[in-house]
Formats: sequence, C-alpha cells, structure tokens
Amino acid sequence: MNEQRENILAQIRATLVDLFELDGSEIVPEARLYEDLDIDSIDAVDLLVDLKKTISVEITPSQFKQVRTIQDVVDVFAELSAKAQAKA
Amino acid sequence: MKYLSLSKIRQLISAAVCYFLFGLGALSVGIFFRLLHPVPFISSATKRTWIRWCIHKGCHSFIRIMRALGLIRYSFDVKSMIRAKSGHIIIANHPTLIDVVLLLAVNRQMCCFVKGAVWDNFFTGAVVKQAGFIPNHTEQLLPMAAAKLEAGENILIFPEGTRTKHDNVIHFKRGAANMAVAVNAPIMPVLIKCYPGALKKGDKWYDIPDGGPAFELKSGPLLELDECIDTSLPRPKQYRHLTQFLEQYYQDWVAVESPKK
Repeated sequence: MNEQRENILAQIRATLVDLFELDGSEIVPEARLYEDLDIDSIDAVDLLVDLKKTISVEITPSQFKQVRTIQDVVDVFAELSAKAQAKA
Repeated sequence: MKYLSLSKIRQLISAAVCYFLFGLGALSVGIFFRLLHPVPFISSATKRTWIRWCIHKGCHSFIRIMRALGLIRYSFDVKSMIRAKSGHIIIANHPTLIDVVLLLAVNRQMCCFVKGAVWDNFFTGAVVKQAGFIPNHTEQLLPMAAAKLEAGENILIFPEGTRTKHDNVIHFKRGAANMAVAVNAPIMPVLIKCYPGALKKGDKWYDIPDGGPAFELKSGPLLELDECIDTSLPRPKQYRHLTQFLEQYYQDWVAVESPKK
C-alpha cells in the first residue's frame, strides 16, 4: 500500500472512530462495512459526507454503493483523487 | 398416544375459524379496495382515511371475535398514545404474531411498514398502497417515512425488526432511531405483554395455552428526542445513542412490569 492510500486509510479510521464509536483496531482493510462494522446504508451517507470534507473528491452515493469493505472505500477514494489530480 | 381433550379440540377449531375469518376479511377488503382503486372522483386522501378506518375496525372486530372464542384475553392502557400529538413514531416490542393487529385495533389512523411481497401482490397491494403504508423494500423508505411524519401521521415500527426470540432478550435495530433523528420526531413507546408466551417466532399457530394468552398493551409518556439523547452530536452518534437509550428503556420497563418471583 502506498503512502497516499495509507493516508486515506488513516483518515477513514479517524472518521469511523469519531463518528461511529468504533474501535480503531477493528478498522482494517479487509473489514466488511455492514457485517463486521455495523455500518448500514444510512450510515454510509453520513460517512460519505464526512469523508468528502477531508478528502476533496467528487463522489456520488451510487459510486459508493459498490463498496463492501474498508479496502473498497480506500480504493474508490484513491482512484478518484488520482483522477482529480490528473485533471488539475 | 395422548388424546386431545374436548376443550383442546374446541380451541383448535376456534383458532382455525379465526384464521379463516382473518383471511376472508382481508380478501374482501382487498377486493373492495381493488375495485375502488381506479375510481377517479374520490381523492386519494379520502380513500386512505376509509381504508385505514376499515383496517382499524377489522382488527378491532377480529380481536373481539378471538376473545369471544376464548383464544385470547386482552387489556389496554393506552390513553397516553391516543392523546399524544400527532406526527410521532410508535415503537413496540414484538413478542407475538398478532401485535400489529392489537395496535391497529387501538389506533384509528396509523401508518405501517409492509413487506415487499404484500406491497407487490395484486390484492393486498391495492389495499396497502391506498392506505398510504410504506413498503420495506424501497430505497425511499426513510424519505417516505419522514414526509409522512412531517405531515402529521403516526408511524408504527417494531425496532426489533422481527419477533422477539425465545430467550426474550430485546435487541433493537437502528431503523426506528434513524427515522426519529431524521425528522426530530417524538417517540411513543408501547409495551406489549403476553402471558403465557404464545405465537412467538417459531411457535405453531394452533399451539395455544388454555384459556388463551393474556395480552396487555401499555403506552408510556411521549418521548421527545432531546429528552433521550444529545441532539447536537453528529447523526451517526445520535442513531446509536437513541437505539441504546430505547433498548435500555424497554429492558427496564420489562423488568418493572414482570411479575415478581
């Protein structure tokens, strides 16, 4: 995992601990949002809003729907921010 | 082999008759409102009021028939619910199959959630759609519920999501809290007691205790959201805190109401 992805993971971990009262050690790449972390579709919207504040990318809820694990979240954000940087 | 006693046979026949009547009632209401569905000159608000009234009366009649046949006993202490200002969420524990029937029997105009299969069915679909109920398989569930609460309707939800398991441990899902936080709606808690236990998840419909189980419905005080949780917190925290609060509320309530050993 490169540095950028590490940063995104750290950001996600901070948000999840703060917003969803989860334990930091639970938030590993292979953790599944719904089954392991008890994050439902309503939560996902709030998570998205919060992550967009700290990681400046345009992401729609439908793009976020495919996401199953923490790794998927990292991937989506890494890809989008790579695209955003390529444009800039 | 043990032979069934005469009273047991009588009870079995009564139960079968009741289920048959329930089906017949649902079917005739279904056919009537199926026919009414395309009638253009009656407003949908009027149809909704009629249909909810029919459902309420139907459920009320049904529990009276069951009581007359000795299948159930019941008592209601729900003044606080009837008097509560509208636009609230009614929550209840879910010990038995007929909880919703009892709640519909005491609420004249109440909005419910219905299963996708009921919503999509040709007959029942016409009833529940015109009744303005909410299907549980739509992504628009929360916005739909929010709009109804804001319009002053009361919505029933069983936060357990399914009937209480045999260990009687009450565990709430977050749906009810999500809804309450989304529109800052007050919550009307109702406790359903059924003694001895019957019609639980996995129980057979004909397995009825002698004399029928005794149901007791009790409504609590209307709970405003800010009495339960800190409403300045981020919403994901509010959902969780409210769910925990309500779960604890019910656990305490059940403990107080249980007969002392």
